[in-house]
Amino acid sequence: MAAIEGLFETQRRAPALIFGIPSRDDETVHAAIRLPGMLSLLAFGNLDAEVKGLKDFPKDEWPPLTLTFYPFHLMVALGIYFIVLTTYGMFLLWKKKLFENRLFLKLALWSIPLPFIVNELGWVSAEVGRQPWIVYHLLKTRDAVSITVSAGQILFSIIMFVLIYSLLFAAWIFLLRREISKGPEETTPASWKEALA
Amino acid sequence: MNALQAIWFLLIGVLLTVYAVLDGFDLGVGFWHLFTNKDEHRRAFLNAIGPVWDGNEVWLLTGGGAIFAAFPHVYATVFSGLYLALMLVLFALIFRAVSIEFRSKSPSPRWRNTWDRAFSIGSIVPALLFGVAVGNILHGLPLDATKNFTGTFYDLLNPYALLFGLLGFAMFVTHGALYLVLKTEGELALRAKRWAQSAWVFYLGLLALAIIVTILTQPQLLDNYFSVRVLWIFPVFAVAMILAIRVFNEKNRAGRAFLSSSLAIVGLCATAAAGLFPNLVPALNNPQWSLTVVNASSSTLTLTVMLILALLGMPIVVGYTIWIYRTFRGKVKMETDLHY
Repeated sequence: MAAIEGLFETQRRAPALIFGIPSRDDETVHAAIRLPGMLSLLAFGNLDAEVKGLKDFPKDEWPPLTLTFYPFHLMVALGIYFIVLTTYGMFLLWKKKLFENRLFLKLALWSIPLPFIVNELGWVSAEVGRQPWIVYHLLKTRDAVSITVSAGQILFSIIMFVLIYSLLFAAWIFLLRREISKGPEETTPASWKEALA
Repeated sequence: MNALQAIWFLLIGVLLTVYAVLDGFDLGVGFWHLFTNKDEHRRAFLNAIGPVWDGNEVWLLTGGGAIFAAFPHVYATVFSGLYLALMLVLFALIFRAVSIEFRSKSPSPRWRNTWDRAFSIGSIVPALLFGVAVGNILHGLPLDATKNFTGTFYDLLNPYALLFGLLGFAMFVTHGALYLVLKTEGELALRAKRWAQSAWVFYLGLLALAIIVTILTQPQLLDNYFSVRVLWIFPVFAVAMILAIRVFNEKNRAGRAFLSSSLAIVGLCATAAAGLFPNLVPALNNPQWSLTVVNASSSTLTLTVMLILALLGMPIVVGYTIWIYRTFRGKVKMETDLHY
């Protein structure tokens, strides 16, 4: 948590960061924009709760900050963007202008891949953030590596996964394009009811 | 050894046996899919297994999960030692699953043929490799004193294991053909019946060969049979069921033939497990290093908690499995809308 929020000093009223550039060497966050007490509130439901900072952990047990801090903050920023975009869309729908607003519709179209990316960012942040532990305080990742599976075998399986998933992704895009180019079917409220029934 | 360890040996045996019976037929159908050329026949095949194949594969996952929780040392040794083989099975199963869903999404014959081939290959690879895995376990793996696998991928492709690979394959394709007889009509059912007849010959022949080779080269697997004579009931039952397949199939009693085939698989799994017990993975080089239900099991507490969960969960799983098969019983109808 300290790494996700770039919290170096253990403190009460620990802040959440809207923006910042954490530095491992300087042990501080540059250009930080802080929301005081938010981290304490989010983590423990109490503005005054104490949150342990990175400096209270041995430095060799810090996770890589870049891959923990940025993915998490990008995820949160995009999450806020989704909320804003959806709210604006609902507002347009209410005003009955949703289907005329080309800018909004373009924006919505280009936002389609974002939730997938956000999902991955969350994973990156969680998986990198728990390093060097694979089971917290019990087992380090480097001690958990199988001694019978060689690096070559792992490399082979990773290459195969990349190939297979790229292939399936291509096939999926191909199908998606076909479906999209067909355009939506003409729907009426009656047919929606039918589909729901 | 305590009773819990023996119970978990039995339960894992049950999970993997049910897997072999259930996924066995849909892997077999995947093989026969190669021998069809009409689109509607292929669709009939996919619709025959459509509602159940993914549920069937879950038994493999629960089997793997149960091994992980009950016998973590076996999980660690086998999943690391057989890494490449398991990856091959995994890749095959990925393609198989995707093929079933993707093939009908475009009418283009090239698109469909490609996914049909992927489906068949994705069925054949696991159908072969599961038998190879069983053969390797029966034969023993090279292990060291720290329970680690010391062999290579090529060690797994020894003649004894390959013989079991072929036997398992013949078993699955016979089972698959019998399932098709049960689920299809007319010309297609007739062809499936002939397929079952020819596959059956290989099934019986390879089983006879496997028994002879085991008696000659793996006498340690017979120890239990000589100390507890009643165990002979398993192999005798299995062979009787395999003979019954032939009789029922000739008399066009599709349901009974398929049931015999299912029971034959149960009998064969029981035969193998009875020979193996109390070993889970015999060490090839030094019997002292074998993984047994005693030295590979997790704590009594873990086994107890798991047993309670299994007793609560299993009736639900068995219940919905029966319900699914009841819902989709009978022949696949070609007139009604085919899903795949």
